[in-house]
Amino acid sequence: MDETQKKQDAELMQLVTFSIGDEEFGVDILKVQEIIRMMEITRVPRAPDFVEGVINLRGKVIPIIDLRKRFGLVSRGHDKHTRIIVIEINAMIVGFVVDSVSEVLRIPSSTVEPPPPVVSGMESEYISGVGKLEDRLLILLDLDRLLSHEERETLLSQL
Amino acid sequence: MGEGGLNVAMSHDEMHRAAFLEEAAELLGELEEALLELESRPQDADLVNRVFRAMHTLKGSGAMFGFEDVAAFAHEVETVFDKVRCGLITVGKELLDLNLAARDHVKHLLECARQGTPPDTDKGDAILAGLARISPPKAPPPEREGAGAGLPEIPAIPEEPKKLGEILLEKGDLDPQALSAALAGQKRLGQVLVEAGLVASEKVEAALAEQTLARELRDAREQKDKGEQKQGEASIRVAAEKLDWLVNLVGELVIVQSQISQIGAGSGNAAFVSLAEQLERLSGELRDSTLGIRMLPIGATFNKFRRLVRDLSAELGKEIELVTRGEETELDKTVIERISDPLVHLLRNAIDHGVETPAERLALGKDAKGTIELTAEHEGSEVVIRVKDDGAGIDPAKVRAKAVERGLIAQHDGLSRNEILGLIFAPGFSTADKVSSVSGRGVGMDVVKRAIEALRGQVEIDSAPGQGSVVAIRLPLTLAIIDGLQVLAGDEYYVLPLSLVEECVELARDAGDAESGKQIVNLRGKIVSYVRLRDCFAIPGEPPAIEQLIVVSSEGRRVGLVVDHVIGEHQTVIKSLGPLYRDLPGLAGATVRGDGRMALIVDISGLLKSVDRPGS
Repeated sequence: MDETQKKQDAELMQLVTFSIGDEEFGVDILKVQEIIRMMEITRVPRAPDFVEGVINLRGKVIPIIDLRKRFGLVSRGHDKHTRIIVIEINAMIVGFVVDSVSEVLRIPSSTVEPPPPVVSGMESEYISGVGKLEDRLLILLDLDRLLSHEERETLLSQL
Repeated sequence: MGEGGLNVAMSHDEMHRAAFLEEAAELLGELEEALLELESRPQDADLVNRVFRAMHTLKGSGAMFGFEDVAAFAHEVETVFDKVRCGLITVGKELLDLNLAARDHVKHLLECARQGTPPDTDKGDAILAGLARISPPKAPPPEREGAGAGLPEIPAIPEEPKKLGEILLEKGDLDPQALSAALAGQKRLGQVLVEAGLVASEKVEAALAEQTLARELRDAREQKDKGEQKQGEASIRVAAEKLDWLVNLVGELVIVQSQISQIGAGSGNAAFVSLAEQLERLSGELRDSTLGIRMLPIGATFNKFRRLVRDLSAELGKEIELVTRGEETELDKTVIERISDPLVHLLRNAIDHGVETPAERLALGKDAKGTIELTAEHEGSEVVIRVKDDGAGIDPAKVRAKAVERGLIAQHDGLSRNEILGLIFAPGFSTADKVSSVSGRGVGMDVVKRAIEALRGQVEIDSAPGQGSVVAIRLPLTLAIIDGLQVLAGDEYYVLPLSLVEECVELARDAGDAESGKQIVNLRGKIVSYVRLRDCFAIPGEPPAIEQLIVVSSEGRRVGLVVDHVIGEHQTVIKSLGPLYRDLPGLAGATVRGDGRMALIVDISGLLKSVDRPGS
């Protein structure tokens, strides 16, 4: 791989995009392990509210978080578009339920702007930036922060 | 895939160093063991040899892998022990104390090398000075420095030229009988020397004794070398990581296998069923032998405690003998690693609070020397480790008074003797009248209890005032797989550890008295209180008319757990729920059922505790 190619790659961000409600989101493709169809979720009693339960992914126990619930949106039933995005966060594998997964996008990092101080109804600390596409905006999520914040809260509430 | 791969980023050099550190840890263990045994059998040449060899190997490999200070120090100690081997120094308490200190110092040096901190050289110098004091001022015998830096003396067995008699016999110049007769008339060298008045007969005797000893040493060494060679061939060192990964894979295989068996049973295809059965048998064997690999005898851990007992009893001016039994009992590696600290705690307690001073013991008509027994044995699917002392024991009245004082129980609480003794495990409880450097700060038994519960074990204590106490620790054989009882509540599956289940009975709805809020049932004349799993876990829906009451024993009491249906036994491969669900009260993990669905494993004692708390 020559230098210019490398440089171009560094400037290009590869994102997996998905939608929840009317919003479109993106996460770094390197964080995504796989995308699976909805499967039966086993409820874990006494667990924090934002965790839906666990699934059995080929013999591994993976906690599932419903992003809709997480973002305070009205919960709606799962349909044939519902997907679980399996992501590695802080050496932990977690699945996130999203309404649908759209595509893999490459966007130049120059088109990404820092998050505005207040994003409609969402705490902006999980947002690493906003990508401007030709006809729409893409919210870039930092799931690491989403979870560690939740974990902190959980731990605090248990003290 | 990242999680499956093992860390291979270590350079070769680092790997070798790590291997040396591991080997050194073993050698230090052996060294300590040999030194302690030497205390009771100071004449045992084999033991002296073991000490020497351990030091020697430390020196050799230490130098090879760049631990120069370790090598230099070990060399000095080795030199002293070489003199012991040659009989120039006799084995005594001072020597052993110094050598134990030296062993600790080597450990310290290695630890410093690992962490890159500067070692405490003063201590090493003090030990060397002490060794120099007891070692005779004269230069050590046969200096072997040139030839291989003090390799253990292995008398060469040269291809000896044939003896005169043999040659004559071969040539037929002499007949065997005449030779024997001539040889019988011959005087031995010692005799000749004594008769000629050159050497006193005692000196000859001494020299002969030395010769015999040297021969024995040589024979013992040769035998040992042979033994070690055999061992070397029979076992290999494997990274614990690799084993964990293997156990993981086998666990998943077992799950897939049970799914295949289930499909096979429903398919009606005879060939498929037979294959599924074969697979079941094979994976069962594979699971057992894989888990077997992780099993280690507990003996090594027990031996570590000899030193602890020796040093601590000396410090406290007590005479205590540690008796161990069941060293060959095998436990999962993780369990062995994590049981060590709680055992140290229990031993410290027994030494400090249990066994009395020799004077007190004599006054009580006991043997001046106290005994602490450390035993391990199998009981069913569990291993029981007991720490037993013949000391003062625990006075229930004193415990009770203390508990009232600490506000753990009310003045008039009616408690059974066992319940009172169990209070010892409550946080912040200590009956010691005075705080010593060893124990008595009231942090102890609750820590022990928590550590053991984390291993899915149980701990109980029994004691008779004046006769001693015994603490029994019950541990599961392995942490990876348990025998479980699968139950259904609502449409959720749960698994209870079968080892805690005593019986299952039906519970008709009207038998319970939910209206009064008291959930108790009369079970063959005994009152058993119960909780509904549905309530504990907020499971939606109405329970069936006839529920199942599962009687479990937890921490000495019988409690009922009510579920909808009992499914049956289930070989449960335990999977962690992960950090997100850490510390969830009442849940110990998850497992995958034959059909691929998940079932949660109930932590009974945790569940009951969480139910108790808001109630009381």
